[in-house]
Amino acid sequence: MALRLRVRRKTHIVTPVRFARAITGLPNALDPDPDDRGFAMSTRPEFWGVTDARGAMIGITAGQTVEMRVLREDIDGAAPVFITVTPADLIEVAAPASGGPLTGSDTFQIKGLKDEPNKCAKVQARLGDAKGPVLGELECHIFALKELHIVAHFVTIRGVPATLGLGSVSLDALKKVAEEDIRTVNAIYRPAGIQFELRDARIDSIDDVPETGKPFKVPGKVSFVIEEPDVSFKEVKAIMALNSAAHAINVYYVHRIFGGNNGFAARRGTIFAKDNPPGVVISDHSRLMGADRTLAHELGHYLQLPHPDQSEKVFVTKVDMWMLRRLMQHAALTPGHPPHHDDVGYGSSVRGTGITLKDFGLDTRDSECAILRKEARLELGR
Amino acid sequence: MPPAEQLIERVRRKDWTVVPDVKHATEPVASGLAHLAAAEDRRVRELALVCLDEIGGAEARAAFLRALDDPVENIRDRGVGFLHHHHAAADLPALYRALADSPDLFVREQVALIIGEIGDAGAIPELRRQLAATTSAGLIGHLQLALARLGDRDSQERVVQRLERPSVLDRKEALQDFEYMSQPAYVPRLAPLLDDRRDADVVVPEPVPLVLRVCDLTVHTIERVARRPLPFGTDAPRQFSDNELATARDRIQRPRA
Repeated sequence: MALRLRVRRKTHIVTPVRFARAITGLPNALDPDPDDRGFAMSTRPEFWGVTDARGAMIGITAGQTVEMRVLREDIDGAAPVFITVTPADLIEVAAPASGGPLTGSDTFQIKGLKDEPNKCAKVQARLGDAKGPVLGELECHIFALKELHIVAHFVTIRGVPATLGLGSVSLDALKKVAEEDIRTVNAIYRPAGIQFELRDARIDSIDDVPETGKPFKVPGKVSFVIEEPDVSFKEVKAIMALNSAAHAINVYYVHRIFGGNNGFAARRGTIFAKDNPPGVVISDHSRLMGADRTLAHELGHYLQLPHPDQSEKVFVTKVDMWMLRRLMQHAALTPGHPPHHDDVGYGSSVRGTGITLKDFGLDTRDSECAILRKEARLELGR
Repeated sequence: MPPAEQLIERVRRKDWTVVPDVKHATEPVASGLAHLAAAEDRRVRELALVCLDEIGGAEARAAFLRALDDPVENIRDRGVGFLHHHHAAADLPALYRALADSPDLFVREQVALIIGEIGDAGAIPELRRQLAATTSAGLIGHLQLALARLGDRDSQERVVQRLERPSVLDRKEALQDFEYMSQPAYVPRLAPLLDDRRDADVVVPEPVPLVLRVCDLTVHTIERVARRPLPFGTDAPRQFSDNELATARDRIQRPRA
């Protein structure tokens, strides 16, 4: 039966299928979360390339195979759907062989072959066979892997050590936990083509705040009292300067941070990192919330990403479903949220870890992937 | 100090703990590292470049310039980044070539900034030539910044005019460009931003938010570009008082005593 459609103002799109993350649950490098905010594609960074696809956007690290799922929105479950990709020098279908038909869970695998300036790829779901009508499409950006080094510092402040939730504070045990955290961080960042490597781990100790001659206010804690920033800022500075390693992101694990915060990042170029090495501080408290995600979030700040759901006045301005899927969102999943916010694809009451690729003009904090990649390139040269 | 051969061998073995040890290395080490910066193994090349960044000197600069053509993006990133730390007028011909021919737009943008940092006004004609030849908005912006730093009046005026744009985001970026331009003579043009009390940067979101305003960021820019400390503390992130802002305004509007 033929379908008659009247396209309105050239913006009306009928898509019987959409593309989605292949799994729900914890982040996995093989299952990227697509940027599926509508069908407008927005502007891309100059050297990313563009296609004429209209739909979601994903990132793949060159050489990596990832899995995606077709969501049948308005098409019979038995209709044969095939996956095609172009151009062949950038991307290939890894499974199913010859692109389809998709079966069972409607998942498929694609492999990014290489990162080429000004070029990107298109993935299409087609009806019937590989030459059938297009049911839905996806734009795919393939990124060369960027490897950033981390040096972890497990800091004892006035005799109170960071324990990372362990009973023991041996370097080997602490390092193992940090390595596990970084594995999750890498799963989160893989769609942006970024990988963190733990280059070194150190046990450090500090009692007094240089420049003041005074001890840290609270054992085990980095304090920052807003009423007396000149004094307490020196505690933050002291931690960031502690045995700082060059050519690496220094991550300081401490027992507690001011304000009950899970983590803190001093971004390069900001006042906090003025005349000081920038770095990241992670508290033991973050173990309650998911320390790996806290580290991923703070590394996002380190690489210049702000909270997308905050205005400069620190008011939470956006709490839509997509915002809750983002790694950099700030608002906690509080009881005030409606029930459908409970699971945004990562499990019940678990924050999302999505990184946006699209750059919508109305969101000045968008295109997180482009910001991360540019900052990672700059970071390697510092 | 470990012998030169040992240091070189550690780089060959990709032992990153070597980095602090090479800081005060001698000439033979730099030569050996420059050789390793062309090794087949990209991880050896990367570590050799990092070590050369610690040492500096002509051989390091030559290795960084060669790295601009490396097929591996990470190596190009290291090379171009380290040229921000170590550069000389003698590097200009090689930088001009990279600016014109590199297929990597990021490299071309950074090279434009490095040419500006070298500070040789003789580079202005070449930068203008590239400005006329490119259609890339990003590269145009970087070339104009470099020209502004080297004294090109039109480009300087463009940087200053950006400070007058109404949005907070534009003004924040314009302040960063102003710092790169590094022209103390233009500091009085920052005065209107000392009246901009709009929030610009969240330093600490919780438990009590600490937010810097456009005027607070402007104070820091004034201090960095004018290269004179202000008579009040600017080390810690905080909102400056009306009196302090008035003092900053007074300082930039009066000629140096």
